Amino acid sequence: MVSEAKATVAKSIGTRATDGKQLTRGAVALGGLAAGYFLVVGLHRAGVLISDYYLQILIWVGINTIMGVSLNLINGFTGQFSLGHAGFMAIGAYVAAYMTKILGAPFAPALLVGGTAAALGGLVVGIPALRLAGDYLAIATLGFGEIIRVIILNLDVVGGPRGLPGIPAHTTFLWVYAMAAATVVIVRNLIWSRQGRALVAIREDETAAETMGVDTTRYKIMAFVVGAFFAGVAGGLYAHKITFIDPSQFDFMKSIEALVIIVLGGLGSITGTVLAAFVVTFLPEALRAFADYRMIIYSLMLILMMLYRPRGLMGTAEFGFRQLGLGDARSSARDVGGQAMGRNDGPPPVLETRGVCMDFGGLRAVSDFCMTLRQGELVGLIGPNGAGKTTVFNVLTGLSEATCGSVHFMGNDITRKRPSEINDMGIARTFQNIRLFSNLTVLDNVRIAFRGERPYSMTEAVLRAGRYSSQEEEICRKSMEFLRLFGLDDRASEIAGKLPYGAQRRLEMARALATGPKLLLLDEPAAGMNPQETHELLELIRWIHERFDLTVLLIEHDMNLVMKLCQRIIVLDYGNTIADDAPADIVKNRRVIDAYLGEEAV
Amino acid sequence: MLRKSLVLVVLVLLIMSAVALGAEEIIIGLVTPVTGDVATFGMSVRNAALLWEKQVNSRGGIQGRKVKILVEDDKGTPAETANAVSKLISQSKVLMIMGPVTSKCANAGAPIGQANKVPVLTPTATDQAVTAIGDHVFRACFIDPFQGQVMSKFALETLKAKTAAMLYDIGNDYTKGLAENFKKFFEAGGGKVVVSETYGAGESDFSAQLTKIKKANPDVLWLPDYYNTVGLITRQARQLGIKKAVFLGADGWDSPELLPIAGESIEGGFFSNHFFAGSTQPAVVAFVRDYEAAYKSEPDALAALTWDACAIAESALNASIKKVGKLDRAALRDALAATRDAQGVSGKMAFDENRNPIKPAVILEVKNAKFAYKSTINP
Repeated sequence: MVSEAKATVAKSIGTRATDGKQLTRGAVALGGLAAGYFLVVGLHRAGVLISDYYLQILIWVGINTIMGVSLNLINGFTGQFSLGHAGFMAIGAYVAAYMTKILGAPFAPALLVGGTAAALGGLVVGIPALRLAGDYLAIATLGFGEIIRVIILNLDVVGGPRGLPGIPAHTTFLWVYAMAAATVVIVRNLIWSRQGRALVAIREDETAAETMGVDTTRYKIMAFVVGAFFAGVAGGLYAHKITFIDPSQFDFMKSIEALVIIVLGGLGSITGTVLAAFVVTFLPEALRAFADYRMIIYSLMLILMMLYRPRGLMGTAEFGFRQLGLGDARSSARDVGGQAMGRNDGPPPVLETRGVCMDFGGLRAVSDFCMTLRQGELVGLIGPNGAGKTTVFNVLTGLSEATCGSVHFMGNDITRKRPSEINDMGIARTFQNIRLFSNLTVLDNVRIAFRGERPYSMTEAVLRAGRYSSQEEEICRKSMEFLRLFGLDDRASEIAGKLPYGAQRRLEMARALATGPKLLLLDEPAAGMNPQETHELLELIRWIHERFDLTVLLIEHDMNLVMKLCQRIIVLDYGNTIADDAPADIVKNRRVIDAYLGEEAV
Repeated sequence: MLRKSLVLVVLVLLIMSAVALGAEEIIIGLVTPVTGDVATFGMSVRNAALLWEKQVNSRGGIQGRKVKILVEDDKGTPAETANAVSKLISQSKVLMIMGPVTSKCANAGAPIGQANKVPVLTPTATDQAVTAIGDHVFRACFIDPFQGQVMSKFALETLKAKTAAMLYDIGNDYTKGLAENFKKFFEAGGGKVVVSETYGAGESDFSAQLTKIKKANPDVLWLPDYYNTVGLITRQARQLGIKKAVFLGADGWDSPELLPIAGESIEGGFFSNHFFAGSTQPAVVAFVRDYEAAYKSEPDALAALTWDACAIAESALNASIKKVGKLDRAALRDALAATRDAQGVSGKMAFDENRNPIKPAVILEVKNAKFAYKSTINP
């Protein structure tokens, strides 16, 4: 079962990351950016190709890039459908303009304060985002954008409906270029980090992310705050370019414009967003010759582009260092040495539930559930469909809150804890219907689950400094080890959803183990497996049980597997515990035979 | 192949020499929304400007030079306006900019003209801030306060009103500005604004506000919004039993659609406007006749103001070319600033020191389901 295959990955992916390459990447990025800037400015000064008009359009491209990339962080990467980006932009624009025009502040602090004010707005919107998803969140954010606009409409200090004219024209191409580059680099660095993986995990499957220890609340708010900050900066740049702002410039259509950019470019692609910012800014200008029909043709062209590239210009693909042969080996699979993993054994982990019950409306799914798991036990939880087995799992992992009773894990009451907190304490699970982050690679699925002792901060991620490099290498190395243990290392860069069924089951287990649990809950791991696969699974569970010194609780209908594997079996029927005994005694138990096993099993 | 390119070269040379022989064309950039929410405004402006271009060229141009108008769409949005103005200046090298049409667009577009020292003449942007942008920015319409001043004067002097009520859209710069200025001049002239009520954009039920106004029983009710909202308000006001108050408004009333929406309720109302299409003055008669012949519709206020702007531009171009003998933006700016007695459809026009026109307003009355001329008020 534990595959030895590893050579192919090492060859296909290439060399290890070295500090030398990181420096090269930095130099290439900086050099490329500088070259781009001097090319544009040089051509403009020389009056070749780039006139004032084109330079101005490039400024809009830069501002649209900031808008798009920051919205993509919220919509594309975190999967939170936000329609209020114009609201953040308005806050940034008005605050920055107020500072420079009315208070006479210099541009840089004004931009910063504008961005910060917008980030506060992001915090405010982030809070409803915790309770709402999909269309409902879209409506809530839409409402937020409108509220901002109406507030400004009634603020006489900034001109109300008449607007604020005469804002100093501080925004230069250099400012916009630098800010757009900074946005792209920061969001890129954020995405390719621990924090970014958490955001993407939320998009892929919020429940699974939460049970893998991702604090979804924190990360969703982070996405809104960071996204809003940059939208605010974009607003400040816009205000000091156009020199006149009024509330109508930040209406619903402005949010839609940003949305068009990310949908056209590809939700979840920074490269695509930059490309789309060029397209949506230049296209209407290029169509000026069509006069009255210009916007109709523009709309038709957008429709055509979406028809031919339904996932956007770039999908989720990126153009980056990898295409230049400067890839960061940490962001892809590679071979690692076969050291053993060190694990510190804490005090004996014990799970205890006391009188847990769970009601769904009038239905009592679980009643008076009492169970004690001693360290190192391998216990089966069986019973007919609807007996409440998965409900027990959900209560143990915090996905459902018990109606009464309490759950204690290693001496702590975890009854009211969030799933991510429970996972942090050492309980991991798999799901009956596999819940992988199915659009991500096999490696990323495991990496999301990994957390170090003192994980690096967002600042370190953005600056690629401090503990970032060493920890990322560590995470990658350990993840590859896990994958090898589960025979998945040669598939590390494949998309998880495309794996064969058995491999997906194994991956889900690997992912759960990567969170470093002391108690592992497996929900029907053998479902849908043939006898051969079931046999391999049996070996695998036995092996990880020993290897990781785990306590395991297993829901399973395959009695053959349960009998061979478990030291003790708990039987549920209609939410009641009807037996808790050794396997040999369970098969003789009359109530269990009547309720579940049937006569032929005896 | 060789022969083809030879023919091409000869053709190009011919065209170039033809251009060189004629005097340099006067290229004017027109920035107007021909797409977007206010496209109907933009089209009226374009119609009038292109009609003038045709007429002035058929008269032999200005000082022997042909006029060419390049139209750029601003979609009614500030960012697009900035692009349109920038394109006309840096790509098309226009001598001057006519437009933008709305105040918002003018606020965003005119600074670019000012920065490049290109004269900007907006036919229709009424926000006071526009001409304050700089010495290269002019307008052909009167500013927002003026209509408030005109109508308060009319209410006090002609209607002998003592009390007034106002009802306006709090979220609209145009109506808000008119309301504030009406109040200012009405109270300065000894009247009293007894009730001031507001509503938001898109509202269609005004009974709560009108009930308060009814209680106050004012002599006049100032309704400085556009015709579609005003029509609803006057209807509801009469239904609620507001009988005494005379309805007053501004140029937003100027649409043939006002009468079907308001029905009989609007009878006896007065509003200020830039010109009166039914006037018997020869300049107006000729303009209305030519415009109708070209576009099969009666010119609205936007078309009339554009016509006025063209008249101002023509007189300034004439003067500047006569003076310096060539096309020169600085000379044109000076000539625009020195405009005296330019004859448009709203009478003779000159600029004050803030580059706003000194021109009369007409007051129209709704009488027998038609707009009728009441009086002309000079500033």
